Amino acid sequence: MWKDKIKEIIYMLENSDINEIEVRFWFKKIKVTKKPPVLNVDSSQLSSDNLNVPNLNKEEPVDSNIDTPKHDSSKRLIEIKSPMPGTFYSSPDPDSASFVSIGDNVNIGDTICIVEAMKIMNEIQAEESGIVEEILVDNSSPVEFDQVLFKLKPSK
Amino acid sequence: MFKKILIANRGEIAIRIIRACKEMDIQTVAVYSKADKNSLHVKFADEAICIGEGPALDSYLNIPRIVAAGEITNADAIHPGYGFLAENANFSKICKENGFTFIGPEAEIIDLMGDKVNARNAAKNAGVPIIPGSNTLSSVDDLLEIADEIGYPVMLKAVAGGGGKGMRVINNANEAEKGFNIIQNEAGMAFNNSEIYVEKFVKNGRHIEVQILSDKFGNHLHLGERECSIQRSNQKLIEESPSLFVDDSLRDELTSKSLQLAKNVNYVGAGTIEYLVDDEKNFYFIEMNTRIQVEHTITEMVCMIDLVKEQIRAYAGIELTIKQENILMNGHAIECRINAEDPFNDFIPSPKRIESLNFAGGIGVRIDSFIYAGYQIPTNYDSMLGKLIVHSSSREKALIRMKRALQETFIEGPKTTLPLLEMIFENKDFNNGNFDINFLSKFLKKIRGKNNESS
Repeated sequence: MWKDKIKEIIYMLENSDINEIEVRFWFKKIKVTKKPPVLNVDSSQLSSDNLNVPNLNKEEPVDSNIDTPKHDSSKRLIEIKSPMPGTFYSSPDPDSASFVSIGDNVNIGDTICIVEAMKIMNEIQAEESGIVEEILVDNSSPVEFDQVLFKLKPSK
Repeated sequence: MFKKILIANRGEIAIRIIRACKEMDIQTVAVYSKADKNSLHVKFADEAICIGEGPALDSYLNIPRIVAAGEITNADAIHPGYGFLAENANFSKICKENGFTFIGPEAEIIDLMGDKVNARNAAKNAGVPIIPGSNTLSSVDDLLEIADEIGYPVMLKAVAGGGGKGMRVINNANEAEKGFNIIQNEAGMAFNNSEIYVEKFVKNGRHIEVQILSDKFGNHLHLGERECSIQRSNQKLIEESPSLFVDDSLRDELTSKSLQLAKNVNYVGAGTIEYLVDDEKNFYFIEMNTRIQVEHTITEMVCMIDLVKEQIRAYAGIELTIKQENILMNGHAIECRINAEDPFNDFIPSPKRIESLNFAGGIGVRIDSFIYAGYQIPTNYDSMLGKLIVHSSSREKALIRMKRALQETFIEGPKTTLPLLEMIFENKDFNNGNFDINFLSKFLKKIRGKNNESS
């Protein structure tokens, strides 16, 4: 319900000339701001191409051969969710390397992170194997039950 | 004072607590199950943390997840509401061990009052009359001996019982053995404790309870009594305060004994001592509830005291500023419980979608609820949708106001107790205060009889 409202607001914003909408709903205040398009383009793209077209130009050729299957498989990404509320840790201790990084191959049973609850470090294991495509949570930030932590691309 | 309170509950009581916190400038954290993601408490709280799947064991009864939610949100206290973990001594202990103030008693007091035999002894030591009965029974022979002594009928009860489960009336010696075995099994399964005891069965009693409020400085107040006799299988449906049946001398007795018990156990916070009162106005201790109760609202209306705020203050270690002599019982308040169940079909739960609704309004009407049009009632939890409370200067006026408020209230979608409530408020005996704890079951039988005749 709440998410739908935000989607609605974003849609309204995208289809209008205004840059910012602030609404009050169920005692909560939410503000959606549209960033000026120039700020979204990073400097590497600025140097190679002209201002507004680069994104489209670059993606066009990629889209036709490699990106299309990639796009399809991205819909079938495996989501690894937190089994409990707690604090997310990407490594066994602050000085160690992360359990997994983007691009790593993960096998069933591999520990991929820790969710700490009540001072107990709960190792979270992958229930399916795949390649880490996305890590959605920053180290030592709070997570809810069922929150998506990782997205894996299924390995063939 | 606390900066942030996590509410380990759902439904109307979660909202009740959030409201108190907002008015006290305390931040709130709601926890919710996946079945409750569209519930109002999630929207009203400053923060909300999903803690598990729909079944309560995975969410509202899951201590580690609730404590973890408190940790990640930096709450400093946890309010359990009523039901779920409100009277779980282990939860009280774990909250404390993890650095949270539990807005309820220490584990020892919950344990003491949760064990019916220990609670009986605590009451006895405070000079509170208890129903003649036994300590924990060891055998059927034990039961037969004590039943002979106190006289049939007797009531077998689970030591760890509550909520109307683990209870059985034994009318004569022939029923003893069978009853003993059934209740022992039932107690083992329902409460994981098969200890049972026996009490004399008080047939035509009234259920009357006294509200207590205590702080950490040894101050104990009473906020008068509540009449809760309109119930079926120990589930209350209508409550009122004060009770028409309680005269000044009985009130003095009830409240002074209740205060003595609160003092004896060094009680802190809001608590309720329940009594069975017979026709001759003899009263007997039933149990003490160490939490805020569903029906606390009617006491709030007649005493003009916000019990939830006082409860929070008490556990924050603030001394009570209210004095007993300043608590005046103003007029009369009545509460009706609106449940999503079919009162004419054995109270079968009706967890449907709320298609549309209107709650009563106007002077002297209070609604404590959490439903809204479009809300899908989850199947996992209690069927109570809300409470309709009225207050007026006298019982007569409060009755008229409740009838008016019930007429204004409708809920489309689920079957509810509303039509039954309307019928009860038309009943002469009820209106005259002529009832006991058997009123509702007799009333329901009578309606059923009439329906059968007409069809």
